[in-house]
Amino acid sequence: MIRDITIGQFFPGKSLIHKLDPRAKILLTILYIVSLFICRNFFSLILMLGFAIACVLISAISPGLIWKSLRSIIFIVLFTSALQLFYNNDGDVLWKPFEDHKFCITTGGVYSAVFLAVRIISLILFTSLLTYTTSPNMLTDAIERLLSPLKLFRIKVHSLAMMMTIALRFIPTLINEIDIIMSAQKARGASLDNGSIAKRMKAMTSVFIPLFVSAFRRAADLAVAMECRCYTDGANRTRLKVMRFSILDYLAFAVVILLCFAAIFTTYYHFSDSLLFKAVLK
Amino acid sequence: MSFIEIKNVSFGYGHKTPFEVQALSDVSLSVEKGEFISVIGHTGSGKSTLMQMLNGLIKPESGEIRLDGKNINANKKNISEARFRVGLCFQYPEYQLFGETCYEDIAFGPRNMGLNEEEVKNRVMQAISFVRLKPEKLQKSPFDLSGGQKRRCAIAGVMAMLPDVLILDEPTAGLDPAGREAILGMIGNYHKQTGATVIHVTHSMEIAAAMSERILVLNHGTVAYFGTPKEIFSHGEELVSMGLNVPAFTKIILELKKRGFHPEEAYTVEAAADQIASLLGGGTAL
Repeated sequence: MIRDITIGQFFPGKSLIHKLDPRAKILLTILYIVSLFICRNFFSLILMLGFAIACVLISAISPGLIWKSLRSIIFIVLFTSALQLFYNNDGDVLWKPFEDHKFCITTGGVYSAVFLAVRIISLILFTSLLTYTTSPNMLTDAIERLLSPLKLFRIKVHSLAMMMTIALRFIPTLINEIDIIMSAQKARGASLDNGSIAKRMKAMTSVFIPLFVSAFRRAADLAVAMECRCYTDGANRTRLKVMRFSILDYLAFAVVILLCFAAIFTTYYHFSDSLLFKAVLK
Repeated sequence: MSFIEIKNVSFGYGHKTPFEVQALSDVSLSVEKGEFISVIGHTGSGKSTLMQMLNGLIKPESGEIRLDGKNINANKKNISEARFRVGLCFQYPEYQLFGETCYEDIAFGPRNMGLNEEEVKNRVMQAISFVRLKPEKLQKSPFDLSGGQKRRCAIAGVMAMLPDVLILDEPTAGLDPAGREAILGMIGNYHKQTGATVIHVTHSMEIAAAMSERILVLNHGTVAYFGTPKEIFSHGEELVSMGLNVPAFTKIILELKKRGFHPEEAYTVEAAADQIASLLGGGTAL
């Protein structure tokens, strides 16, 4: 069911990760992604994966939810890994089905396939944590604050943030709406979950037209409501909750920067781990 | 055997997430053919879930639903049969209009049933006569109609399938008193002319008492009461404690009881007036 979508969903909690400043969380996530792509060998990669798992444990988000977000990308992981497996022809040949053809699987292929899979999984683990532990409003607030230097270039940061807030706010509403419209059309015999693909596509128009109509209606209503409350763009508003970096945030920065250096160190100053990998294979 | 049989049905939303809700727990009841039932319960009492189960949109997690003796979730054929035999009209049905013309929209259901064009046309004409929509509106876009007309067009879309069971989820929500009366009249018409079973979800005890043979009261996903209006109104105090809006006259009767009088139960304004008049020492109300 469409209700089961968890990506981008916020799960309230009281863990250390929930308490971090959302701005810090965004910056830390970017830093983590950069470090992840600095990694060139398994020593550093396992370090990064370990850190992601540790953060998930600290956040106390239930493993079932984490599994759900991972399950949705399993196809992408398998697909890219499979590509790597056949594309990379370094190292010893492990399997060569056709004698007269270049096509083969090598140790290098297996190495990069596993490497890429672990990298994507770490990436999803860590980044999904950002949306799981930060409410959408906090998130857009933080983005607005982080982008505020762009005001110098006459970019309307506040409008952008407001648009994002509204868009995020209406995702659950529209999902709910799709659910109801789909049920209503199914009740009139629309073949939304059975029949040929052509039939299903045709039936989808009976869902999308009312959905668009209602989205426009809601947008118009909201615009009127905002104007009634004298909303003007970019006025110098003060905030109910002022974000301040706490000691926790500085500590988190210290840990992730340390992790980043560790990744660089293990990648560039470390012995190659093909030895480790060969040992695992045998 | 009853026409609709609901046996030990349970259902919950959002299992294994922090938002878990038990919508229905162990609900059992049966409805006879041709009955007019009203369903009452406050928000979250499981009304909508139960209604969507009756035509197979939601599968019960445990228990079974039988329509005319057949388990509707037994196989695909039974589900699609139930979809057409049980017409379900959601809340604010006008938000589900999509056809280029009203005709196209009303014809959507009958066409999905696989009827030929001539039969589809008959069904559309029959449906607009139920809802008293003028034939010249049929070639208009449904988005050009007024609010009340949109609602009637949408209800016609469900009636055009001529379901044996017509379920309406708050069909009068957001309408003015005249619009409300009109819609209720149409539902009564459909009931009388087709002999179909009608299940009407409403928040108004007055409407429920005036129209239906039996009233089903749901509370926290269980059946609180299911009986004739008279039986239901004898539980006035319990209904109030469930957070339901009882009619003003019921409140007066309840208050009289508290003050030591012994009026009989009344579930229409007239009966209540008679009771009060007789307590005052007179005969019957004028």
